Amino acid sequence: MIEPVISIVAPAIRPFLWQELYAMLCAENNVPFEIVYCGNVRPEFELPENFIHIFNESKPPLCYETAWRNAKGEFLLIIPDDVIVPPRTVDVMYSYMQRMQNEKAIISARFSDKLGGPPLDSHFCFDMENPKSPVLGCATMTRRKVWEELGGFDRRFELMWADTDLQMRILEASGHPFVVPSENYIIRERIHVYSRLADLTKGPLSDRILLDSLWKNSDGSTSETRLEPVQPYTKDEINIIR
Amino acid sequence: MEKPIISLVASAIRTQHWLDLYEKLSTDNTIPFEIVFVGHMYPDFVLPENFIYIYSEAEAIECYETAYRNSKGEYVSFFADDIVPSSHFLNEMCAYLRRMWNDKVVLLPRLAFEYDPDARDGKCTPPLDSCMVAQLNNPEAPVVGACFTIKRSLWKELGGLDRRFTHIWSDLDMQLRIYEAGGCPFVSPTTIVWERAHTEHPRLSVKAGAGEDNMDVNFFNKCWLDENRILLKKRLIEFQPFTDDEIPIVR
Repeated sequence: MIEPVISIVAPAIRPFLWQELYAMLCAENNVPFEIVYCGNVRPEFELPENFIHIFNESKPPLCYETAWRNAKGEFLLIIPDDVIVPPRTVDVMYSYMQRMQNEKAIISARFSDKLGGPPLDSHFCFDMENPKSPVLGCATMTRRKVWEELGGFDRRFELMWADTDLQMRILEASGHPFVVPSENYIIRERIHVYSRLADLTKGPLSDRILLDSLWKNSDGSTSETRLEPVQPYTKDEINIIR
Repeated sequence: MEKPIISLVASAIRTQHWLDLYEKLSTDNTIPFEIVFVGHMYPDFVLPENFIYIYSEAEAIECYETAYRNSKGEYVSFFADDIVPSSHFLNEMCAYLRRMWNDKVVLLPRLAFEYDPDARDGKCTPPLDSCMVAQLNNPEAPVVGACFTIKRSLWKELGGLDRRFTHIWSDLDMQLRIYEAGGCPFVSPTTIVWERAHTEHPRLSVKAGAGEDNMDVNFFNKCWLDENRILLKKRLIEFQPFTDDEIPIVR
C-alpha cells in the first residue's frame, strides 16, 4: 500500500454508502489517502487496502478518537460516510493546505445539506447569532500533529460537537480557517434519512450545552480562550490496532 | 458623516466608472464605508460626502499610500476603480473579517477577469480561483489576490507600501510581507470582484505590466525570488517606507 498523505477519518455506520463514497474520493484524485472508519456496523464486502474499518461499539466521539489515533497520514480529513464528494476535492483541499504558511491551518470545503442546494456558507460558525463568532468548517483538513499536540477530543461529548470544540481549540492555539472558495468542490450531505442529523434527537442538547459552557462568556459573547480545560481520552480507552 | 468601518483606497484615474462603483456599493450594503481615491484626473461631477478625492500627480503606488494615510476606516481595502464588486460586497467582507481571531488576516474576494455589463442576471465570467496564487506552477506559493482587505492597524504596523514600487505589484509584496509576519489569507467564498476589460486601462493592467522588462516586476523578483526563481517565504531586501514628508495629509 502506498503510504497515505491524507487519512480520512470519521465514525461511520452506513457501509451501504462506502463503496460509492470510495469511488468518488478516488475519481481524478492523485494524493494518496486512506480511509479509517470506526463504528458498530461491519461491511459485508471486502474493503480496499487503503480503507480500514475498526469495529467499535462506543459512542461517536470515541469512534472519532479511535479512527484518528489509528490513522497514518500526515493530514487528517473528516469526511462522514453520508456525503457526496465531487472529483478532485481531496486534491484541491490538499493543494490549499500546502499553500498555507500556518502549520495550524484548517482547510474546509464548502458544504450543502441538499444534493442540489446552495452552499450553507453562513452556517459555519460557532454561534450564528454572534457576528464575532469565528468561521468554522465542515469536512476539515488539518495536520495530524496539531491534533496530537492538543490531545484529541474532549471525552465528555457524547454524540456530536466534539469536532467543533477541537476546531475552536485549534483557533485558540493560533490556527487559521480557510474555506476552498470554489463552487466546484462543495461537499453535499445526502438526504437526511441517511444523515447523522437524523440522530439529533438522541441527545445532542447536552453536547451543545457542554460546548456552550466551554466557549460562551456569561454575556453571550464567544470566548477566544476555552473556559475549562480539556478532558482527553486515556490511552487505555483507545483501541490501537495498526 | 457616519464613521466608516471600511475604507476603499486606490490610485484612480478612470472617473467615468466612479459613480457606478459608488452606486453599486451604496445600494446593497449597510456597512458604513468611504472611498478614498487619489490621482491626477479631476472628476467633473460632485462626489458624495463619503467619497474623497485627493489630487496627486505622483506615481500610482504613492497615490495608494496617500489614500491609505488619509482614510479613516477600521479596515482598509486595496481597491481600484476598474473593479465591479458582487452584491453585498462590503457586508460580506466585513462579516468574515469580524469572525477572524487573527489580527493579521488578509481577506480576499474571488477574482474574475472580464466584466460583462450586458450579462443577464449579473452572471458574468466565473472567478478564476486557481489564479489566486503568488507564483503559478509553485505548489507552495501562498494564496494572494486583488482588492485585499486588512485591518488598518496591520497596514500601519507593516509601514505601508514599499516606496520603490511605482505602478504594480506593491499589493502582492504587502500580502507576502503579511504572511512573513505570521498572517494568513482567507478567501471569502461569497464575494467576487470583476475587472473591467483590460483594454480600458493598459497602464495599470497586470498583462501590460508583467513583462520581464518591467521595473516593478524586476524589483519584486529581487525581493522574493531565489536564484532558481522560486518564491521565498522571507523577503530578501529590506523594506523602504514612504516618509511622512512625501505623503500629503488633507483630512
